[in-house]
Amino acid sequence: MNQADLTFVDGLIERIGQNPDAVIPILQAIQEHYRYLPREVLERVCEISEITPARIEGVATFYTQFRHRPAGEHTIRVCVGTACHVQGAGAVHDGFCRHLDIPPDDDTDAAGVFTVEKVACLGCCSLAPVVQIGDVTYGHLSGDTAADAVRDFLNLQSRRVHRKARPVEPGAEVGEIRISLDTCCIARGCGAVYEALCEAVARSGARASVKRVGCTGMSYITPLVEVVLPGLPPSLYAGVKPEDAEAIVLRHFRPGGIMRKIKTSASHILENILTDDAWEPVTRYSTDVREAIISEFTGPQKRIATEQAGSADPADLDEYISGGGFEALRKCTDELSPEQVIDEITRSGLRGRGGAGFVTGLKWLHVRQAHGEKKYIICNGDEGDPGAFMDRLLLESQPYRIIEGVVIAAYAVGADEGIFYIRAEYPLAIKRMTDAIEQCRQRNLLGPKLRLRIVPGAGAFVCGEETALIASIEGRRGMPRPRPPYPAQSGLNGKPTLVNNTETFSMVPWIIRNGAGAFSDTGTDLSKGTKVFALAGRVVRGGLVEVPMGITIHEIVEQIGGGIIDSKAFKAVQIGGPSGGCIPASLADTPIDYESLVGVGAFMGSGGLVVLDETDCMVDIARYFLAFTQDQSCGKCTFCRIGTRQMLDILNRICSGEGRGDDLERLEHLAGAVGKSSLCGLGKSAPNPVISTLRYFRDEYEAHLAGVCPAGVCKDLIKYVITDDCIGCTLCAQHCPADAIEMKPHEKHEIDVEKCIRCGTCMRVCPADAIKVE
Amino acid sequence: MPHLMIDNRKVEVADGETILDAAKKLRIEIPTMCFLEGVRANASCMLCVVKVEGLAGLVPACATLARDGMKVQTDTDEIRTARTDALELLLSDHLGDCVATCQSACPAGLNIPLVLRQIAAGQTGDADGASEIPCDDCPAPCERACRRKQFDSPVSIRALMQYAAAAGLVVQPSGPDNRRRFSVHIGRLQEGEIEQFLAGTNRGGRIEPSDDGLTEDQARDEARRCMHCDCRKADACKLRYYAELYGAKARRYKGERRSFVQNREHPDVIYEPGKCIACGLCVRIAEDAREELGLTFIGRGFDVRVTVPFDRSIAEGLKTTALQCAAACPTGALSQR
Ligand SMILES: Cc1cc2nc3c(=O)[nH]c(=O)nc-3n(C[C@H](O)[C@H](O)[C@H](O)COP(=O)(O)O)c2cc1C
Ligand code: SF4
Ligand code: SF4
Ligand code: SF4
Ligand code: FES
Ligand code: FES
Repeated sequence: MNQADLTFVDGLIERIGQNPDAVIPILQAIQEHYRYLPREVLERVCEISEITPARIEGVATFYTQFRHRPAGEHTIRVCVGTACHVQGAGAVHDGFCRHLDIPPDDDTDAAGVFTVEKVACLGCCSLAPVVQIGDVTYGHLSGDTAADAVRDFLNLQSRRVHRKARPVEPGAEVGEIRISLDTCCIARGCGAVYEALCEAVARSGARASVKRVGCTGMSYITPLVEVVLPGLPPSLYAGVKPEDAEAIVLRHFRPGGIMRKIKTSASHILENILTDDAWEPVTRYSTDVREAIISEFTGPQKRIATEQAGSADPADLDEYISGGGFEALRKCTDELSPEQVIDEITRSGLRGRGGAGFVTGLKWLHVRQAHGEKKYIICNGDEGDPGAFMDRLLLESQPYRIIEGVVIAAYAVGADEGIFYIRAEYPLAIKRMTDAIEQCRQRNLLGPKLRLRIVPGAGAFVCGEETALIASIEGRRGMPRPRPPYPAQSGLNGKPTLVNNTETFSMVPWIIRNGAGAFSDTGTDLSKGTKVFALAGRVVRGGLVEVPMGITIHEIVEQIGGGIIDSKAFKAVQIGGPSGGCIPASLADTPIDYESLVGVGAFMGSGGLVVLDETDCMVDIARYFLAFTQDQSCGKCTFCRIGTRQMLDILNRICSGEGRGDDLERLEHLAGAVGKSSLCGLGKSAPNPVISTLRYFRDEYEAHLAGVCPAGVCKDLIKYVITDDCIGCTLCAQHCPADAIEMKPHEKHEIDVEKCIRCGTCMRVCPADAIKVE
Repeated sequence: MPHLMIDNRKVEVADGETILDAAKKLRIEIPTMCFLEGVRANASCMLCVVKVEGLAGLVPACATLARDGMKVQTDTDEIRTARTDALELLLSDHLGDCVATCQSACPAGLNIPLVLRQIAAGQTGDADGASEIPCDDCPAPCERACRRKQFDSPVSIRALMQYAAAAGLVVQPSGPDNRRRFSVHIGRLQEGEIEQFLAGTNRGGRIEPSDDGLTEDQARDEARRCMHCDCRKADACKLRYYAELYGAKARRYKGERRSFVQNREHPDVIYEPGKCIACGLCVRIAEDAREELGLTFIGRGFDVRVTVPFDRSIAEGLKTTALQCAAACPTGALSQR
């Protein structure tokens, strides 16, 4: 090892610490530096710290974040989350590997420029299939456009210049231009629009401030810009491009300063253009259009957890406070005893939003009553469901709100140390929370003894499970342990620990401010209040929605989601992600509450809600989720480690047309055994997607056994054929990545079934709709 | 002091004791594999599952704390099925032959590899106690089954058995039903695997006995040609014992057969990772004894493995606890040489 490496490692240990519980942050720092974990560096860490070789190797090979081979210069993250999966993420991944010539057992191209990784939901499901290259996000990709994305990225790299917008003078503004700036919005170009708006304001001298706000939940039309002028109804522009910025600014604000004259005449011209129907971009997205969509989109929703999302600058503590922030906390500490706070939460009927729906007040009471001086509080922001991103948006768009919830809970249960466990895949959430905690600390909002810190997860779904999460914070492999004892009795470092989900905490300040009654007025008998869902899949409008408990699936799909894309037939919704199940369209009247969902074989889960239509194969969906849980099993207990693998083998067999007669019985038996006797919730719930699809879509399984995939999804069971509608344009032949179509201008083309890799590219490019699946 | 009911009998335990502890007090036996008195429970094999009234599913008795008022059942049909399932799943990923092919071919079920190990080690018995063996009139199917022939030619088993009997070594069948096998059979050796077995054997060709049988030197050399493809824990393996007890079928679930690995780096123990059930006992024993390197799990899920960190050898990993680990290992994964 050379001197530079030595200095780096030694400095690292000095900075992060040398106790075993520092192992994950140390590994993360090493990986950030080297882009993988070099063996000598790990050995050096063991030499100079309390971390043993067994510990470091065990941890480094447990979490998916860690690499053991050098990575390429740029990482291509192909989202294989639920929404992206159903829209063909597999083909996109294959497309990148093909374009970069990466062999199946590798992930990095020969030149070491790109590493291709599969990741769970990137949180921009409405752009599915989504891919992140470096810090640039590309949406709506397909196998054949992978190459374009790579080219575009390289292009961008070569001419990347940093534009810094001039800040607007303070005090001068009369109006506000709001733009949502979350990861998914940034992906859609909101960053560039933000800069363009700042520039336009600065140039024109308009008396306006440009403001970042959290997500509005309408990710299907971002970049979304809202212009707010005192006394006027706000105007909303959707799908804004940087070049529209100037026109928007000049439309609402009179330019000031020296430029005024010139600009006024310019704006005259612009006004003309604006009313000119030929100039589409702005008229197309003007206020009137919004009314139609948004009232429906927001209509049946009710905002509690996401109350401030979209109207406040997430980083602005003053704005949070002036909007009623920390009032709830003040009320608690000034007027209520801890017991009274717990009582209020209990009376509200709030149940945990992390999945199982345990009564929150009761959990708080258990921690309050547990013996011990030292108590911890943990905010679970691991959000592992591959189709969900609401915790991320909560953390990104209202960090103070979550902090307030945690501080109230800490007061109630008597904890003096709080930890936000946030997945490392959410860098923006981590940054905003870090900043927000610091702000609160400086303003003394955390009280005299409460310490808050952030622990980033390292990529393991099972670490959402509370005992595994605690193991991970302690710097161990994220393996769950049996409960009891529950964390409320013996959690982090063996001390009583309150673990709640991010959304749960987000509900707390609202309940305290508005009273338990106001909360329990919404919802059903046993499920009170609202639930945030990440609505995605085959709906016209996807995004984040917060709905009252008790709303039916039908209402969510039709009224909020705007129905199915292309008027296809609605088939099912998948609720609860890998732990949940599929509810068929025939049961769309099922109300969304904990008990009803369990009754129909699904599970509230953390809030992934993916809508499926006739083009989705239910066996493939079941296999998708099982492949996910199987991959994420920690490997500790027999049933989950081997049982899910056996189940997956069977499903793979069925999907490739090699199913055997007794496979369904075998699958059912295994599903029962794994569900009953696995150690933790991951294994216990892993069979749910299989059980529920077997229950409602058994005919599809049987069709596969007979060699047919009714939806035409399972690659080994379908073939693409060109019909007589072929006009001989040769487009398919030009695009086919496998050279399976011979170019025959003006003649009917044919697909060589042997060569065809079933990527579906030809079907997408065919202008005559002449290719179909058989 | 929690009071609880196990199989409808009352018992009182100390705070912090588990359901398994409580059952022991009542002399109710619960099968365990990954649990060992004195080592932190890991709750991995799930053989010890029991039913607790009010809790969904089944829970591992070895690691679930006894709580006041618990009502526990330890032996119902549901539980027995779950235990059988657990065993069958473990067996589907448990590679190795419990019994060597020669022994299973032997009509008398003689424990051939054990005898050959004794001869190879130069052990002698009591010449007066020469035992009766049925080999003289036998067509020696053992030699036809011998794996060594895949490399060159089979071991001269019959002659060696006759030599051993004459030398007074105990030649006996092992175990009650010594030929039942519970594992994914190795079957025909795959590419590269024969090398694993040949390591440490005498590479010379087969020695044919003269009419007087084998000389002492010949016997030792020939015995050293044996590749010991049997399991050294065949009689002490908990997995095999319980599989038999619960009537588990080894081939109920089929998976991909991994390749067989036999690690002989350590002077005292042999490590066969294909037989590991990831119970973690050895990992914890080495950790508790503060082995400098010790053992660790690497990977996750189905691919989790027990190895020495940083790819070091087992000899470096287990400097002081090798024999203790081999004794604790519930299967033949770690066994005494
Ligand atoms: C496999 C698995 C994954 C989980 N993932 C999460 C998660 O991502 N976020 C979360 O809040 N809870 C998750 N949970 C639930 C937690 O264990 C815990 O119950 C929850 O954080 C408690 O908070 P609540 O009472 O507010 O719901 C998961 C549970 C299991 C079994
Ligand atoms: S159920 Fe799966 S994730 Fe949970 S402890 Fe068992 S192996 Fe690990
Ligand atoms: S020769 Fe002896 S050891 Fe071989 S099969 Fe016959 S009886 Fe068994
Ligand atoms: S080698 Fe043996 S003791 Fe160690 S984990 Fe494997 S089965 Fe358990
Ligand atoms: S962004 Fe791909 S599933 Fe959400
Ligand atoms: S003995 Fe309890 S789980 Fe293995």
